[in-house]
Amino acid sequence: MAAILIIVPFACDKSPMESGSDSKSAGEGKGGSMARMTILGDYLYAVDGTSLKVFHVKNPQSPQYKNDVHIGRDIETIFGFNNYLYIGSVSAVYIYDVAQPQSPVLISTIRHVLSCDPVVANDTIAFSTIRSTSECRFNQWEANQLLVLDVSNMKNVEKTHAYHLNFSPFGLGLKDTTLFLCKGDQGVELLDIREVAEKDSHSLNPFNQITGTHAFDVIIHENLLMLVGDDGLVFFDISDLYNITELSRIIPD
Amino acid sequence: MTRLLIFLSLVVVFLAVSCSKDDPSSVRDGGNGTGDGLVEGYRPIYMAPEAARTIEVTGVEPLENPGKIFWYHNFMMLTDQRKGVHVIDISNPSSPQKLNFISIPGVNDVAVKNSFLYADNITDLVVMDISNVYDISFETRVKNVYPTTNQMYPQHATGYFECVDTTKGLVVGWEKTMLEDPKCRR
Repeated sequence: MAAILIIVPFACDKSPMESGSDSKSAGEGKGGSMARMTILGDYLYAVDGTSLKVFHVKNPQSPQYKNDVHIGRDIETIFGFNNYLYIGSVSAVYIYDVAQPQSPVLISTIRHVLSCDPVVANDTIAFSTIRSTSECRFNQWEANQLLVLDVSNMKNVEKTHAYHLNFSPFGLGLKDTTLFLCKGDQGVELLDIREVAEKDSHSLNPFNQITGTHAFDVIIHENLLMLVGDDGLVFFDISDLYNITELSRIIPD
Repeated sequence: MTRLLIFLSLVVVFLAVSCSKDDPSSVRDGGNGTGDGLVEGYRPIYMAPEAARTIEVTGVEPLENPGKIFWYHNFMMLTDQRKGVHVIDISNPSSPQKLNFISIPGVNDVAVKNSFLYADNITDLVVMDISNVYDISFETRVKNVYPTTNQMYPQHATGYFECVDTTKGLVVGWEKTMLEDPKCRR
């Protein structure tokens, strides 16, 4: 298994609740951070292992296949936010500008490297996780990490933090200033993003966690946390982040 | 230009799965195998082309291998890896109810816009009308979006795998298993 990269952008000056979705309009939904398809406005973007496919879905019942953009090797995930697509691969995060929705333009490539130069995160930050397993041939120089990216200047995205993790991270979710980090067998860790993005911060100090379920990815809508993992689909009430309660679960039969 | 890009994509995919001089074990060799004996790896799961492109709405099905999720207001779409999509009523999250199942061979991902559901089906993108979740209907198929080269190796894994024999059908998934002297590796 190769390393996986996920990104959850967070804009301080916008409603953080909308970070997982481009639009609040009735027709829209919200995917997880591990998704390989995303909808931005009238366009559906889908990735396979090497490229990005663009569909015009203004008439949603009859998508028009418009473009195929080669990206690189081992593409894993896609995440749309504002006018940008964040595409995670084994070796890099690619950021595409979709101001011209049919013709995504590569504006930033952030390679995964272990060294980093801490920079003050200001207006806008993004998080990503990198996962590597024992089977991964990149393991010698990659590790499990949580990256913090400064995306205030989209043409010069900088990595501000690269936290080493002693577990394999999976999907991410965001509610206000809380980052939910999926840990597979170990459940979910809750982090305060203000601390995570703190300039001098060197270690992660989760203020709460969810245990007792395998966590692959999450979607958050208002006070509802929807979690998927090997143990099934689990719903939590997160109105009180210090007292998270499980509402229900659908387990594999 | 598009053709050139597709060609380049194919070249990159080819390079990705074929040999490199500094890593001789990634060769798809002429039949001698890697000589590595019994090792853990991935074996392709085949399906006849017609069956692999058959989309069915079956009613509630057991959940086997939870995959990806997509939230759509009062509904949650939950993929069952490589098998299909469960449509779940979550209007009362304390008591979610499975309502229906769409069988989509090979499915990885799902998204919804204006009551139309998009999902990948081997080489194609399929569209389902879910405006009535009890009476979901097939809408259309966009053919040959995903290149068949994607089929030739397990996309999310490195290591050994059984080389694909395209005469056996389309690859709808990969199972982890023990392989005797596999001839492919990436």
